[in-house]
Amino acid sequence: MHIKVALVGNPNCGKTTLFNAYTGAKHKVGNWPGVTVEKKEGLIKHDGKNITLVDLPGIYSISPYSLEEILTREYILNFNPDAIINIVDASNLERNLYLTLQLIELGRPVIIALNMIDVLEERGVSVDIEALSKALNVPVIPVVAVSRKGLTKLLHQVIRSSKHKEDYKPIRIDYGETIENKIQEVASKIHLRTPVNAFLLRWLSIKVLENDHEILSKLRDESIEELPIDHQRHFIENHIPGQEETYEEEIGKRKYEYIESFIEDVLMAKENKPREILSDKIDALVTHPILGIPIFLVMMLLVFTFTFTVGNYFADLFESGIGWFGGWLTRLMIEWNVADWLISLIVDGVISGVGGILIFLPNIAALFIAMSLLEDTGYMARVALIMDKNMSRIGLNGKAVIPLILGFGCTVPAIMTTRSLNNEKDRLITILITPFMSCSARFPIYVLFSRAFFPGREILIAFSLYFLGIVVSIIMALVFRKFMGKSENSGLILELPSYKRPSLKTTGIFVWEKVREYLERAGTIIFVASVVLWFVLEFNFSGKVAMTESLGADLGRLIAPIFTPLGFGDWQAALALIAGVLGKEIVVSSMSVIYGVGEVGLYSALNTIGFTAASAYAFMVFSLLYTPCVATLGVIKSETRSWKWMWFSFGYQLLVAYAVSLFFFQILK
Amino acid sequence: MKLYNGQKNHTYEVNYIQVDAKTKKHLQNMGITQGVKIKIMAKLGNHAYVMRIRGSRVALGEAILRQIDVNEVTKEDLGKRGPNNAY
Repeated sequence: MHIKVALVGNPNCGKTTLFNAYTGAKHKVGNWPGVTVEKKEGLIKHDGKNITLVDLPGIYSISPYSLEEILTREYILNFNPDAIINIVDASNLERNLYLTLQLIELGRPVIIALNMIDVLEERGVSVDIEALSKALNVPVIPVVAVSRKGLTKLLHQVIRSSKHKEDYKPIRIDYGETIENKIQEVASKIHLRTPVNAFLLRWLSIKVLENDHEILSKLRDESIEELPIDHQRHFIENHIPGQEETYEEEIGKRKYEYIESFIEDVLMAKENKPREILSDKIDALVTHPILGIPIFLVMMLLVFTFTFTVGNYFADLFESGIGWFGGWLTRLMIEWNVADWLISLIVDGVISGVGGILIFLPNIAALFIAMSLLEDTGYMARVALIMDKNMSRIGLNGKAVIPLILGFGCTVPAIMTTRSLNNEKDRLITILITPFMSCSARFPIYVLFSRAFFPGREILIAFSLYFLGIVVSIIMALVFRKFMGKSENSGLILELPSYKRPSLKTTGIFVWEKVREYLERAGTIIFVASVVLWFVLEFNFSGKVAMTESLGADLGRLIAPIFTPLGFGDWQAALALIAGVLGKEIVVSSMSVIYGVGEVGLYSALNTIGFTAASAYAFMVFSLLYTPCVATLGVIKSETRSWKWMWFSFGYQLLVAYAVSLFFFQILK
Repeated sequence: MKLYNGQKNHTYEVNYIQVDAKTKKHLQNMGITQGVKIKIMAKLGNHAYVMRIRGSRVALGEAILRQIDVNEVTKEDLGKRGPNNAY
């Protein structure tokens, strides 16, 4: 017997921690078909049964307002899971149950995994599990994902519920006479080609009343008889007769009222407990009107110090390790009489190219550890709050700061988080400026060039580039705002989750996923790019030639003159920049292949082709700002659903990079 | 009165919310519906307030605060304690 279980819950309810507790790092990560929302699946065995856990995105409701919400309910409706585990944050029970009621209405067996009871008890409140279970007519299992408490019991319940899924009868929320009559009226008009059960029919009718455009179009396609839907695919009656409220508002309100009707019996306050809890105390400090921003800046300074110091320590070890390995392999291959060209391909192509990138793995891991901690503890939401005022000066709201900070890690997931912005214009502007935030792939470029031209001041130079990225993004945001106009209702609505102690496992798995991605990139795209680059540098159409005569050199020479005003008009730099569109770290791996790590030191090589401190800085500036990598272009395309904006990003960043880089070179030289 | 004019540590009951449908839905997801009690926990200047709503903490920006019409709930009313102030 194979059991399919969907994991559903609010953002920050501890869903990922629970999923990780069950599956460890052994889950499949993919995307939902056609969209860039992550899909995680894990297979576990329990009591001789195979159970597939599907981790659905964190959502507040299953209305059709966001991609995540639509995906979740489509999954539940189409893939027919045997049970739904609804992870509920006990410390935020009333609001979390709003989603629970919506899940229950879908008519599939729901099991509540009640998380974070400890946080609630710290506040001097206890939960009556039985009362909650009775009020909702679903099993409630308390769990503590971090210490694995309740996990086995939860799986037992999953098996039990899935066995009896046909007998499951969800509670029925009474929406009052007017709405109930209307639900019945709508239900009587729905005649589908494939009949559905009474619960689903009721749910569909409620959705029709809520004017759920997704459901309305589906019903229109599936119905035998025509529904009273107007040409804009709206249900004709939007407002409750004689009232100002829409059906949607009233139905939502009634759900909350239902929760209110029993919540006092479920949550029991113990007396004599201080009301102010740790989260409030921390908030008083980190969201302080005066201290908030300095604290944030110190936090960011800590993030980068951690990335540079801890990362560099291990990076040095990696570097000597890879250097030693290259030397050892060369000697071995010479002993074995391996052909010179093959030694060159392996050592100058693969080891230089891939190795040149691998040495930055510790820095990147360190950065992602820091990012993960900022997010997991709940601090990132506070950053959005304290930055709201400053962000509003550039016409965005505080939430836009989150993708920008995540952009220091990797632009691709950063752009995906712009979905939390409610306003389309705000979202587009944020997508367009996020690539200017210096991602971890650009870091190797700074290290390479600042070591060669600014020894002893590497950190300062890297900082100046991070800062420049921020400045350019601010300027561009202002420019876009000017052209697109001010957006309506872009006001901040933000949940501040309780602070959590970060879980070692969650951070570990998150960082491991990032490290694995990086290794995969090194093993695939960077490997292939290095091999291809080696070929175009060793050959032209007449056969093997000196590097300066090669195809690659010709290609580089073709566009190099464009870069002469910027100070790096030589073919090597031009070729590295072209290759860098595949991924910015490839700028460095290309340079490594061009010069070969073992032969001439890369640093002195850069000197000999005429790089000076001024042109090196201009080159770093250009690398920071120019056309985003292909993965970023891909995500811009999918998130804006437009080729136009993708090509716009491609072109305008090139122009901005050229202008800013020119400015710096002309001043510095 | 508007929620924007509310004071720290005071509690208010929502009369009506004057925003577009999408924002309204978003507020609903955060537990902000007509009739709910909201306590202002902290103010970040005049720009954004942190509120306690149905046991969770939500921050709202000025633009939204100006569009939520509320009535103040007195201490006596609170004594009877609505479900929203249970914790």
